[in-house]
Amino acid sequence: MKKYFVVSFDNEYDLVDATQDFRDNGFNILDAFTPYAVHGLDKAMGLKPSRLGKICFGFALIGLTIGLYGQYWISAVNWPINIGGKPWNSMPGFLPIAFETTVLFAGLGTVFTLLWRTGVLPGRQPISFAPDVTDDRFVVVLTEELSSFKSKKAEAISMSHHAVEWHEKLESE
Amino acid sequence: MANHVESIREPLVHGNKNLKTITNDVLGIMDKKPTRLWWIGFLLALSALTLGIVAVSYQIMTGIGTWGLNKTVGWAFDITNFVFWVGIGHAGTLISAILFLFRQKWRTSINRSAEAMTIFAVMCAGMFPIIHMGRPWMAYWMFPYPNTRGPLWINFRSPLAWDVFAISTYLIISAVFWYIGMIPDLATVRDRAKTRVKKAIFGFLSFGWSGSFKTWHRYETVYGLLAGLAAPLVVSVHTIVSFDFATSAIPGWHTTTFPPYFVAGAVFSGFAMVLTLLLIARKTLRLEDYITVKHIENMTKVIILTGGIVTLSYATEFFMAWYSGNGYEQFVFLNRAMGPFAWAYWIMVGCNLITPQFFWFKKIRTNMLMVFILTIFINIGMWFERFVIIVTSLHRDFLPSSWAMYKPSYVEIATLIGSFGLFFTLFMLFIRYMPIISIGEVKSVLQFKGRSGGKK
Amino acid sequence: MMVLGVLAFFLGLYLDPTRTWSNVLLSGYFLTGIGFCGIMMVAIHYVSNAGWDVAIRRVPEAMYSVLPIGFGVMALLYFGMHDIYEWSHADVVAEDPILSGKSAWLNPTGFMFRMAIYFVFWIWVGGKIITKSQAMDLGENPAQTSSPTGLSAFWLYIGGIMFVFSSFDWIMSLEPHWYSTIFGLYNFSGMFTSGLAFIMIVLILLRRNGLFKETVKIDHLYELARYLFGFTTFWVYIWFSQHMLIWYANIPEETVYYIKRHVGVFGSLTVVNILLNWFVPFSILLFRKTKRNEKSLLIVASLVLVGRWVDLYMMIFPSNFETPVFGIIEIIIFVGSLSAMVWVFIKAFNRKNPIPQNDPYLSESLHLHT
Repeated sequence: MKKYFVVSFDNEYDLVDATQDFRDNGFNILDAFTPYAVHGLDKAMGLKPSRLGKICFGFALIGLTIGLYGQYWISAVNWPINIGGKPWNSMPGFLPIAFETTVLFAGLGTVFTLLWRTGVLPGRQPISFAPDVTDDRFVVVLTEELSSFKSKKAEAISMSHHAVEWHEKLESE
Repeated sequence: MANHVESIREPLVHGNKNLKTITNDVLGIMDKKPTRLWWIGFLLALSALTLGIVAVSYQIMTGIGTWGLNKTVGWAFDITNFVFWVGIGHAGTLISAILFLFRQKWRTSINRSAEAMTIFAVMCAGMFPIIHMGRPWMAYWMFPYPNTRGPLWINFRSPLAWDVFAISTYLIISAVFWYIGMIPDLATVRDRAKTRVKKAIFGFLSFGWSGSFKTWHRYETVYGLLAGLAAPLVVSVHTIVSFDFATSAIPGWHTTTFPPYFVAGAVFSGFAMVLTLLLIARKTLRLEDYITVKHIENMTKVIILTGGIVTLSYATEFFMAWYSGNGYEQFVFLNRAMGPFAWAYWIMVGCNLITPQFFWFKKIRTNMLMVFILTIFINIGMWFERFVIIVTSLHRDFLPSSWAMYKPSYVEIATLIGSFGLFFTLFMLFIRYMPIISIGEVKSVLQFKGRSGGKK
Repeated sequence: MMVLGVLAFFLGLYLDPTRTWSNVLLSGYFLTGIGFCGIMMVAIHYVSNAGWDVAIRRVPEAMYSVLPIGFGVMALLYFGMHDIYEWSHADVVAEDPILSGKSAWLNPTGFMFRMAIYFVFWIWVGGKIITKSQAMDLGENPAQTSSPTGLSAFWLYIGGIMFVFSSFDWIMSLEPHWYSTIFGLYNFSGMFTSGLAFIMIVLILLRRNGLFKETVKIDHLYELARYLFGFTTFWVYIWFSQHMLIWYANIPEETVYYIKRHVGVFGSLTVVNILLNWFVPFSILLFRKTKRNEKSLLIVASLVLVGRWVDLYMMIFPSNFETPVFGIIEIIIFVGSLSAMVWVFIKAFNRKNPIPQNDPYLSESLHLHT
């Protein structure tokens, strides 16, 4: 059975310092819960940079290809029509729409990937370890096998970083 | 982001706020019963909207012969309104995306409402070309899809087809950007909700947001990426709107500076509208601590800058019309300044060139009433700018025998009023039922006393 | 190199005056752009109340000293006007109704007079901004930092308008029948990218010499790289707007400009121009890793400077030449003026403390963390 150790702080600086301390002392950090994106917490938690940038780039390329080739195929291959004497392959005139499709694909693709990867979707219920994390509490959650958890040490670290509150929780609860 | 902030910098939020008070101040608006002022505004907007609905229904049933257009002036009032509203929308994306990329932290108090304004303005804008089609129920013909008519594809060489893509992409991306930005705040609303109904509604709307930092971490990346996408997007939208005119060979329309000039003009008018709305909102909703005088000042400075670009464009266009040695080009500009629409031209010059110059003075920048009045002048001036560009270039072109005049019909004016009604109705509903300030972002720029020394 | 440049100048005058004067114009305009961008960066810093760039501010400040050199080189055109500007020949203008219609603007006296006004304003008011900005080194009062703000706004406003008209005067009038209202902004974007690239190269070289090792971090270069990324994209946006509108409207008076530039070797150079000024910088700077890598930034910045030369070459040379000319004259005159620029820059830079003292935002800049 797993055990969770939930520590709350009232400001971001204590949270970042404490998280760093927990990690240096070999604790396993499940996640942190904060009212806003705390700067520097990703380093303290040891999170890798997100790969969503690459996803975005990939979607942008898809959008660009569809935009360019789609217009070319429609205007020059499938049904060429002479309009105002413009060439069938009017590339300068295709670029505006190609740009729009690039942005549209990249934007929507990235956002949907984000929602899918993080599980933030309509109808989901939030996981909650402590109250007020969307208001003014900064919470870090440690997890470990029940038998191997060093509670004393965790409490000491919490105390030294001015934690406002901490409690333990079992997986089954 | 630079994490060291010099202590001589003025704080972005006044009144010694802490995290809790920010939540309560902003969301408190949603808990209280609407004030009388809100009801007055809402009902005014709603009646304007009703007028608009009547006018639009009438012209759709009767046909667009109800407008004041004629053979020579085939584009006038509705395209003016279209360009005007698209322009208004630009400020929102500029604040949320471009200022984000330039790391201007003061944007956090105003980006939410400015983005909402963008979406509403683009909705108003989109209405006009759709009505102008005459058969709006066929509007889906604008999109390319295999069909039983050939397949008869759309003409991708037409700037009007570019508009379709630009405006719809803009609407979609802005709405997504706005909503994604709002999810954490919606979760805050959910967590403080007292009634079950409210909890359920906001629980659904907030997509189960738990404040998990692993989510935040990815979320921040996506926010940056979206800002990076939205910044060129907003430029492209008004660029493409300007292409509607500049790709033609009509004197006064065909000029290469149109794309950047339209973008600057759009930001100029958009900021004026944001200021108009925010000045009302901060006063009636008591948000003076969040939307401070400093915010207003910064926005007036953006107005000076974009107003300067607009001035430069007027000067360049006028100069180049003379320099070109092209008689038609020269005539169009003389006709603008001295012809039958000279009154509109001088309103435009007065409002757009002279008004922003007042903002050079700190006394005026910090006087909220003056700022309010001046921004209204800019709004009027920018509407007339589009009117001047569109109508004066058309009504007297190459062939004097086909010169004509243009006068808007009552139906057209009612439609314009209706679009304002739609805009303000949506805005009033928004400030009442949604978190109008980005709580999360404001919290993140709140400087803790004594902890601003760069310590992580 | 400077002596060699002067020698090449006189030799070139003897052999092919049109070609030599075109090169003088190119170099003069290039230097003017670098100097202009220097003050502009300082002025933007004050107007936007930014803090991050205090540590690197001495570099754009020293770039200001290039502006007088640009003035000197541009003023030489007085002697070479007749070899490159068609409108400077009174007899040609008299026979051409369009050109005589423009003669109120395009005439030798007006040309030199406006040039003097532009430069005097840029140098004089710009100099005041620089002096005030550097006076902080002596003073104790941090409030002084606000003093150049108003002046900077004024300089940006008037100086910017002047920049647009100067590009009409000096570059666009090479083909006096042709006109494009976006031309000034097009040159503005090119000037900005080349100025940014110059700042980045200087910073990277100084970091390698150890001077800025402590104070200028990769974060500062990252900020500049983001700007460069944005403004090369802005450049291609303006390029595309002008090109697409002229292509689309298809009016012969306008398309003639691009027809010259789209055939033969000039046509290939147009492609090279876009590659250097946009595609290569864009593709490299798109990624965060490359924006934080000194080596890749040095490569990109150098390419952008070369790209600026190609861009100006494409604006200037097709006006008077059927096919591209490139040889020892181009190289030596450009390298000669570059060395004059670097020499003046180093002298100006060494005169001051490399890091502004007493600036209230200094520590904000030293702690920049992106």
